[in-house]
Amino acid sequence: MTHLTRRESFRRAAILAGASGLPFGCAPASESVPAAWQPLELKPVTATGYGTDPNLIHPAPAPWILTLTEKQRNLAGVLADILIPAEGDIPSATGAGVIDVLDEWVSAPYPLQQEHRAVLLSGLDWCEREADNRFGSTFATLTEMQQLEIVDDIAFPERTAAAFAQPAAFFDVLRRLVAGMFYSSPEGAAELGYLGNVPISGDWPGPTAEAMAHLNEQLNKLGLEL
Amino acid sequence: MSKTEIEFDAIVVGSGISGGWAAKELTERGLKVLLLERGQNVEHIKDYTNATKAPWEYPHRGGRTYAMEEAYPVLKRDYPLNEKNLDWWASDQDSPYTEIKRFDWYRGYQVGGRSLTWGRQSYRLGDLDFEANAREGIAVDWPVRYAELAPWYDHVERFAGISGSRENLPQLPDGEFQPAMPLNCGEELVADKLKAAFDGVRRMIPGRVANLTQPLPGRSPCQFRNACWLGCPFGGYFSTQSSTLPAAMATGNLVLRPFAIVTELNYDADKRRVVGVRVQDAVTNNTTEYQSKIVFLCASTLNSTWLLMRSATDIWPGGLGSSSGELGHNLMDHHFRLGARGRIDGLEDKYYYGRRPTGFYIPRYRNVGDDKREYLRGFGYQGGASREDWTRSVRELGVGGDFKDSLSQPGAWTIGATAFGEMLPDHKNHISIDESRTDKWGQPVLAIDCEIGENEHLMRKDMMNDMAETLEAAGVKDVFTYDVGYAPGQGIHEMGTARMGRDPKSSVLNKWNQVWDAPNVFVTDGSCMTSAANQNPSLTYMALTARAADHAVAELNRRNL
Repeated sequence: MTHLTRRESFRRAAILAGASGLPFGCAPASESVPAAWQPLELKPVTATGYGTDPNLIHPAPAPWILTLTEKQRNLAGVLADILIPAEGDIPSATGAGVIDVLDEWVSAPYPLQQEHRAVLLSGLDWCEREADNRFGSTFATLTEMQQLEIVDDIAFPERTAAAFAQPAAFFDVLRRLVAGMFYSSPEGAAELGYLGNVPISGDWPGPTAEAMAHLNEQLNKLGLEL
Repeated sequence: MSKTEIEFDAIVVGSGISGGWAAKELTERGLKVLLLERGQNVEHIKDYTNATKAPWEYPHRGGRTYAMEEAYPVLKRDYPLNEKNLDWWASDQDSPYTEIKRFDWYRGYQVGGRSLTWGRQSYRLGDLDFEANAREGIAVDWPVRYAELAPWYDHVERFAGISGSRENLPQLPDGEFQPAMPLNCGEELVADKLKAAFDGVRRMIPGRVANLTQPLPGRSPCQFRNACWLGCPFGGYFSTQSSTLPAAMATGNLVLRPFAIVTELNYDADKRRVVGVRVQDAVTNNTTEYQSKIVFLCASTLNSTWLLMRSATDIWPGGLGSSSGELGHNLMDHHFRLGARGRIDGLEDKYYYGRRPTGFYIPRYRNVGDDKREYLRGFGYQGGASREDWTRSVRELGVGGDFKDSLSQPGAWTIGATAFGEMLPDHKNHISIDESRTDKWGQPVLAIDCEIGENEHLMRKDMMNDMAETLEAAGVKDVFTYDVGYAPGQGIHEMGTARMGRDPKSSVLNKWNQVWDAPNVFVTDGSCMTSAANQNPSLTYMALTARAADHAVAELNRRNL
């Protein structure tokens, strides 16, 4: 790809901002010591579950109460929208209602969900402490670039520094949950243009007339033709 | 009941692949035929209630529930237990059986039987297979050779509609094919490299499959939905419902009776013939006797033999056909569930179109020609190449627009295949009646005692390692092998227990599928198989059934039956 990716453009903007002496918080991330990972001691959720084999076509409302605080929901929403931002008419993760699903998910009384709850809440807590550590502020009130600076250290497991291993593991769980919840929402499914299993008779019919018109137009501009 | 309601020229027991063919061939030759099916009716199209559903339109996403796992202790062992077509698998609780050794028995008790749910891979056997027992001194010789069966393969392929490519391989004869469903570009790339790497010995060809690529009367070409096992509203694949049953019905000579469990063949010792069958209604339990000149047993491999074992026991304690000592013996399946997978580099700008209901096939090459292994017989491979979907790991793409892009783009190409190996006939592998247990209808159940032997274990090493070698030779990267274990029955290719042969002292059926001890009884389902070969067997049942039906009518006309 020749164009700048969204992430790369943020990164370059951040470098420019730093170089031109604009206010950009404390010392660069590479020099600061990241906040320690502190697993939270959580009281187990003891609510009643659905029981086995619930009907998923007409699901009953979750029989457990939601447990995320307003602050946790907001912070999760900021991170979810960094993962899946709005694009044109397509809503962001929070716009598609992901946080409501996430809250229900981590508040469920099942082992996997309880595990995710521990990781998620500890991770949100770490983000707050790291925001304070680096920029002396809460995560939600940081500038977008400051937020991305922290996210940049934990969102790329392939090149994550050892000091960020646990926050990165948290972010990986969050990423899978948010993406799964977004793309199974009506808005997310619509964005994919998912057709489902439709009958197709015979060989591939070739590109649509619209696609061919576009191709020909571009070729004409180059003085070429099919 | 009036005479016309209980007297027929022919009775066909079972309405699956073999029974449907028997009904078609016999009615088209003018016989009045009664087709008996133990389960419910399933009407073509109308009863394919889930055929167009998306996963979220099922109460449990089409998967399995705790309640289902409890109700189906056998079916849950493998893929058949699912919410989408559960009605087309027999109930483990209503129809239990005894496993002396583990044997996974997946049955389809409804009109159409397992023709509704079968894998549709359709391959001819060749003389490499028909001559093997005689050549190697295994079991008994097949009483037929390829040349006798070839015209019947032609006949059934043309009517059923088998798509495939002509390859001119002696070990896998070509057929009367509709155009093949081609290899996709990932498979083509590997197929081309294989030609050079193995000098044409290991060939990757399009899977031969009973899905149409051209219309047939009353049937549309395959719509590439790959949802065959929900029933096809387009009639795109061969089933009793889409193919043989409408043809039989069109003659006006067929009576179809669902919920009719045949519990015994009525044997007349003076005539040395079966004169009819006893039927228990699966709903009311009422008994009815039907009469006919001939009977075709197409109740599926183990059930046809069960019925023979339950008949004429006053003459032969082991049942009709037991005089040879071979009834119930030589049970076979295809052993599989092992192979290899890997990744294909490149082709990143290529994709495939639709959902092809087949893949590639690598015909048997072991113990073919000059190749000689430490085991007998061989195996074929079935597999496919595809691109990974969004569930692959995309963590390196982080957040935001790039992350979203990566999720909506296809991933790397992967290719893999599973081996299907021949299992030798072995007298020790057998079924018997377990008098201590009964099914829902009060009938004693079968006990199954079957395991694979030394030859199969030796073959399995090659089955797994050869695939890795094959893929690596074709430039496939990151190749890994797997063997997830095999239990007899899992192939859902039960064969044998009433084998054909040349001698009544060592076989149950003659070369026309007639029971030696009652020549007006024809057994043409998988029970009749003298050896298993490594090819998927249903096409051979079709050909043997059509051939036997033709012979039966000729013999009736000659007044020999």
